[in-house]
Amino acid sequence: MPLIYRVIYEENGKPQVGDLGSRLGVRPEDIDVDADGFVYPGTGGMSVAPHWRVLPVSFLPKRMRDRVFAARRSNSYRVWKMGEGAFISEKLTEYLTLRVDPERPDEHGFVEPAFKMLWTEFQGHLAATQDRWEDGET
Amino acid sequence: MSTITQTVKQSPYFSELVNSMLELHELAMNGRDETPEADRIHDTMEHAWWKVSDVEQNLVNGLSGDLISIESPGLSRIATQLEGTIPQPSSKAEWIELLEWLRLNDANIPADQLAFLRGNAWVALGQHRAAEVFFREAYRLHSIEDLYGDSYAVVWIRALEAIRALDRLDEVTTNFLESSRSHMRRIASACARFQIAAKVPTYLARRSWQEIGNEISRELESAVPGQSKTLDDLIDNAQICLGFIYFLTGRRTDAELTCERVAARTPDHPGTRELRRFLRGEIPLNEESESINRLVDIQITDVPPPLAA
Repeated sequence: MPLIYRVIYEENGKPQVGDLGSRLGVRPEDIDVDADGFVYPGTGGMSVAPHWRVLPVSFLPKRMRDRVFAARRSNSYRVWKMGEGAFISEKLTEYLTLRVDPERPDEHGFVEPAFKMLWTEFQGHLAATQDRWEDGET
Repeated sequence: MSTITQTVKQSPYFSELVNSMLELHELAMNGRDETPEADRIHDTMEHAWWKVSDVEQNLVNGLSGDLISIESPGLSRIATQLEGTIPQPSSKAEWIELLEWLRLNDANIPADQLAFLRGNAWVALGQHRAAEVFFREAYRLHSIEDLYGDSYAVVWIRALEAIRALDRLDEVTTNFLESSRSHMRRIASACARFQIAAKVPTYLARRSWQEIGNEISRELESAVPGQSKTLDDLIDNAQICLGFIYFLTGRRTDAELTCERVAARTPDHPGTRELRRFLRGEIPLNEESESINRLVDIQITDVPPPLAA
């Protein structure tokens, strides 16, 4: 499974689930949702990166200023990581797929539904990965 | 170097990221950088981030750090020995290189000069809002009436005019016109009022052309050319502004005399060429036209970096 990184609000030592930005989940604007509430592969998803070093430095929490001077986000956020393999388009779970951003294949990707499903189901599958995310700041 | 030039596309996404970073900076300056408002700004940046070039990403990352230097002056990058002399950039790519060079050497350069140079770089990159933040900081750090402080004041005024910050510009220029003894500051203030009025017609509800012209005349009467290149440039610029006001208010002869006066001192001044085109009727009079904007965009180009040798 590809190694992916994302900055997410921390709650009780875990990435917080939700449909706001910087949460474990997607905002409605992150993926196309059809009139019946379905989402599809290849139409967007939760934004991830192959390493925190390619994220905007301003997204990184201030406690990382010893390594990244320009970090400016609240320490309520954390860099999380999941997986261990190469950053390539591949299944993450039975229901979720990583699609590498064709415009920035070495730096950005989307966690997308593996197949057509309801937006609410997609959010549920993202939330189900909560325990698999680890501290990615090391 | 050409790669850098090609990849600073000035895309709307780049401007969006720069402006978002400036908003985060303003929040940080007010102790509000850990609020839901700041979170919203961060979240809006994510989409744009992946749409800009690597060079633009580096610029935004660098801007974040440069702004932190203003927000938290106690924090600084690792001090290093000054590497060589300060580059003198002429192209956009070289200004980007200068920004990077300054980050490597920032501990060795006075903070006001650092902010001034950064402001100039952001002007060269077409991001006047960012420039205004750095020029404001340079002026805050060194506001006394000497060559440094006057230069900082002039570029700050010009940046406020460029971003059309009407209220702030009014406040700053009023302060200089009422209480400064520096001709540079006073002339730059009077000219900025002309320039903003020409670009933003609603400004004329605050002051008429006549009032703006009177202010410029008053400043020109007391300024003596030959003291510095910057002051001379400002005087020429003020004459052009005044000539244009004469033209707008039907005083053609005075406008022509003004042109001649500037041409006698600075034969190739672009402002005289443009004003003469108006006087000859080659450019139709329309106060909101691009032609007028071009005319008033002719500004002094030489505010020398007041760096110690």
